[in-house]
Amino acid sequence: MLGTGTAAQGRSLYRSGGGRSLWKVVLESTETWGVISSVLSGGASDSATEPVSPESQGAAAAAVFLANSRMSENLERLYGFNCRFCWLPGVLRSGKALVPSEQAIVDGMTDPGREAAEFAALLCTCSDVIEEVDLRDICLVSLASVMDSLQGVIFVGPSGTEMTADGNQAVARAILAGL
Amino acid sequence: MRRSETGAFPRIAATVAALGLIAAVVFSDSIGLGPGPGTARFGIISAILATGLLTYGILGSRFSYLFQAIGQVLAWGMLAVLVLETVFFVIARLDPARSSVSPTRDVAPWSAFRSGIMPEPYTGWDNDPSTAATGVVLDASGCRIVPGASTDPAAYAVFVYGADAVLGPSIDDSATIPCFIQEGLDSLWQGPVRVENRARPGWTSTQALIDLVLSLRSGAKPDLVLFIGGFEDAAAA
Repeated sequence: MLGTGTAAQGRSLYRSGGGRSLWKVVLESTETWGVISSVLSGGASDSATEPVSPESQGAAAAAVFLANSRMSENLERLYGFNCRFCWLPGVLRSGKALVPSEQAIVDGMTDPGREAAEFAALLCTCSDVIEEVDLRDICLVSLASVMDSLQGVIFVGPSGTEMTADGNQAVARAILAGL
Repeated sequence: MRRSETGAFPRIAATVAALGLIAAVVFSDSIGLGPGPGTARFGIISAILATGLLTYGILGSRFSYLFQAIGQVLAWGMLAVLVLETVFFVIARLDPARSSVSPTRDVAPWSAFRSGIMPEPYTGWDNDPSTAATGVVLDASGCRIVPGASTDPAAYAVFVYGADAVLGPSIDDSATIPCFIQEGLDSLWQGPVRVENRARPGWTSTQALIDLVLSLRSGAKPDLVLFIGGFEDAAAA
């Protein structure tokens, strides 16, 4: 197929969706451009790469989750099934008394550095936004506090989202109770 | 005297040629050269050429000095750009805040579970039976089996979507969330129940929703659909 395109098609390969020319693409890919533009804009080199706070990212993630729950509600009406969107954030947002192995998971997720701490903040914001939603309006079920009264090891795995049989049973019971 | 005579002809010829080119551009409409495709480009090329020829016609033997000077300016300019690029490259690597690559979560939190999945259109990836974790039994459609699930086509069908929490790669088939839902519905529902564990490692609710849409389009008729997750949605933000 190579070589069958016109010159105009060939030139279009060097243009992005925004209609930027090859020269501008090359210019913006240079380190000099990046530094000068970041200095001129006060530290942010480009809106696409501008650092976003974990709180705003968490709010954005919650918005996507809630939008998906509403979309599934529409499918529910269209296809005649029942639907439940269950929020289960894992050990980072659990109110359970953590055992040492669970605490080690939390420490492992929050201690290594700024990146992990930012993710913890992001997840907390996301959880806060979702739990503030009026659950009567949509098919949303918050399971964040289902494990709070459980004893012993519940959360396992490196990300603290997997659970032991006791945790899984508690989640299943909470879901069934809400049907 | 002889030298100036021999040098005069090229200068005069260059000046005449330049004026001719300028005239051709100015009167292009009158002589049938435009307007049309390529006319603008012809004008630009002619203007550049005419400028060069006219400059040579005026400067004569000093034209070579101008040519050298322009070359030197361009060479120094290139050198300056190279030096600036090198310096700013080092600065960008030393200061992550100035790096064009976002420092946050370049590696997905679930990347540790890369074994056990394989590429899949639309949803990104699917369970891979050939590299599934020990003790994880998958059916023909890549779903983890749910012990006790009815095979009756008319059974009450429950689709359970999620990620690692629902898939439960580190626990037995009989201890997953879908398995407990199966047990609970078996005692609550009058009739056969089929719970399907449709969880995939690291799937967000968006991927689950896409899979549900694809299943509905293929004719699946679930009675109950459960999405269980949240961590992965946050991680994907």
